Amino acid sequence: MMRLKTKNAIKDTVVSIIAIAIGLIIIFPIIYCVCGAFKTESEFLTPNLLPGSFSYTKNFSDALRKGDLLRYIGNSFIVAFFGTLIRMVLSILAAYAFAYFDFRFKNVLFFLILGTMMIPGDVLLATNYLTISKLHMLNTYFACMVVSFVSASQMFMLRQRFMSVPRDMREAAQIDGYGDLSYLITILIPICRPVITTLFVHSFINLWNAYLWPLIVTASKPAMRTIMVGITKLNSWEDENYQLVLAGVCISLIPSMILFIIMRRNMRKGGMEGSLVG
Amino acid sequence: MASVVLKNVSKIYPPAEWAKIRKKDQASDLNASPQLSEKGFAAVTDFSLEIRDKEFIVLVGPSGCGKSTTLRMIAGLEEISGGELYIDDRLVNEIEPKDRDVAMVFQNYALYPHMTVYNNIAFALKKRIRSKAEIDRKVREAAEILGITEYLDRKPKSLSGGQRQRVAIGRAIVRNPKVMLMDEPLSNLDAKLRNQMREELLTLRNRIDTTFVYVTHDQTEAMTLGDRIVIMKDGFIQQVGTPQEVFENPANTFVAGFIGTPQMNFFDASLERDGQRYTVRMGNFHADVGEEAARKLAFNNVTGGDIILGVRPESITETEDEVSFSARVGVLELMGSSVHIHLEHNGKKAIMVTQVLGENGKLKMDYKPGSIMRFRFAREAMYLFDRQTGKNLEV
Repeated sequence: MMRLKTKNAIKDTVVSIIAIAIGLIIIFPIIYCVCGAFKTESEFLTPNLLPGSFSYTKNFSDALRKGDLLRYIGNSFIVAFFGTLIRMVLSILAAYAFAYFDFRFKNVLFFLILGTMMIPGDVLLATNYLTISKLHMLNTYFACMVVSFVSASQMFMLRQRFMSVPRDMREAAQIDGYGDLSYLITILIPICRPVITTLFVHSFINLWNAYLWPLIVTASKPAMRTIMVGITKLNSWEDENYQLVLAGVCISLIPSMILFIIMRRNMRKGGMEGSLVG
Repeated sequence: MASVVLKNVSKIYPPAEWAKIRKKDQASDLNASPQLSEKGFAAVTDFSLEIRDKEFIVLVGPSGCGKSTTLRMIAGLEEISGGELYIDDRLVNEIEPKDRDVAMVFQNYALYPHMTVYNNIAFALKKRIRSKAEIDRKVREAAEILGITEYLDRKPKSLSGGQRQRVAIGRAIVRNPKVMLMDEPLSNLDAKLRNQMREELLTLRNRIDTTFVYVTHDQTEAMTLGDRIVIMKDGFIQQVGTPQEVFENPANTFVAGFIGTPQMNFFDASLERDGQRYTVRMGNFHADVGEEAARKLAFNNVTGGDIILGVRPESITETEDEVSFSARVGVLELMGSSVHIHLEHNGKKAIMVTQVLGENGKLKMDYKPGSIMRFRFAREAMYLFDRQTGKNLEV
């Protein structure tokens, strides 16, 4: 009995140490970034991790002033928020159709859509750029978000979740007088809220962090840049100022973190308890 | 409040669709079923029935007999492959479920998990009634009937199975539908709760006064609840009648075996005709058929020959008489005041039920497992079935 207890204690300790190590590896760049953002130019060149003082905020004010970061944050917010919103609406509607409707070539279409997940996004960069530019949509918010309106993986995940909701639920709503759209809005979306919230946050952060595509479609109009593109412009070859960039990165993290904190409660698992037997 | 008329209604799942259903439902072993043909799977065939206004109809049968499919066709959840369905004299084959004014209680309740009990019940009303006060009044009235007023603010997850079932029923009755459909609503409750709910359904039925179509595989529920019972097998109606009719005059061996617990015993026997007299023989046992039965047999031009003799377990009695059949006593199952005695006669199993509760309140059991005893039954208790078709020869 005692031996078993000791064995478990050793196992727990080892697992905890490994988990802490992995956690540190993941969080270290963020710690480094935050610390770096508070350093003076001379401090930055020393090997110390911690800055002399956390009250040195000149980097932040410089970043905001020099790079027009507030405007970029606004741009990013518009692109990430509306891009995600439209992506969610399209994914939910497509997932509903694939989960509940019977139509010809349903399976073929479904696998075709899943097949697009195999194509790396960068391959499409040139063709997408040509399309956007020929449509005269360069340097617009629409150009920044249009390529992310459709997401095969999100559609797939939502479909799987919808299919796990018992068929009886839809039939009960049908008999209660609700059509497909009202069932989707009043029953299915609230039931699947945890998944939808998670996908929303994930998608928002993805679009917020997007770099390459916004960079090339807003190249000729700096005012339309997103925050990620804007941050890199804080640093140039004639004026290397990394603490400024790190301050910019810290600022750019804030909206994603606020969103995550607000949505965290909704991302819990569950949602179906009590509906059915047992 | 409405009549429901089904005219030659049938449901055939085309092969492709059937393959999909089969994939989902691995448990049911229907692949070798006679219902399967190149046209697909015939879940319901030629179903004709007139359900009168305010009648309580019970569809009963073993799993896969098409009873639930029939109910779902009435609800509009399943397309009708052939025939006509009328609700209140209106042809509804092509009408959406929401426009049929029917309510349904599902086997697994299908409550909306994110809504309170109140909203679950009010949900259907919100589409139909604008006045909030009116909705509130109706919801509270339904909750009152079912005794769930105190749970109105709770979510389904904090309710017990029985309470959830009540909410599901409340959701259906609150609309005062033309037809109330119930798909095995009690099958997920434990035995005690099931008995209690069954009794409550009877009371409820008197209060809400509408047409009921109730599906179950439990013949006790069918017998106690139904005004009329529809017994189904392999997609076909076997018999329609009041509980008493189907019990007393089963149309065939299937119905005879399905209705009544323990089920009816079947023996191989022969029938001899001598003018207007019919005699049943089974080994040493022989008995003349009663006068009325003989008249029916003569009317049906029954000539005699090999038959199946059906006898209910309660009709078999022990005897010292020579005119009897002998059987080996097997296992005894004491059910309380009665005992189920398993018998073996000519390699065939049979069961007999006898009361063992004496007047003094003590049980009196003198049956010894393994012993051979003599048994008989009254001639009025005999059911005669055709050996080939299984049909009741007297009907």
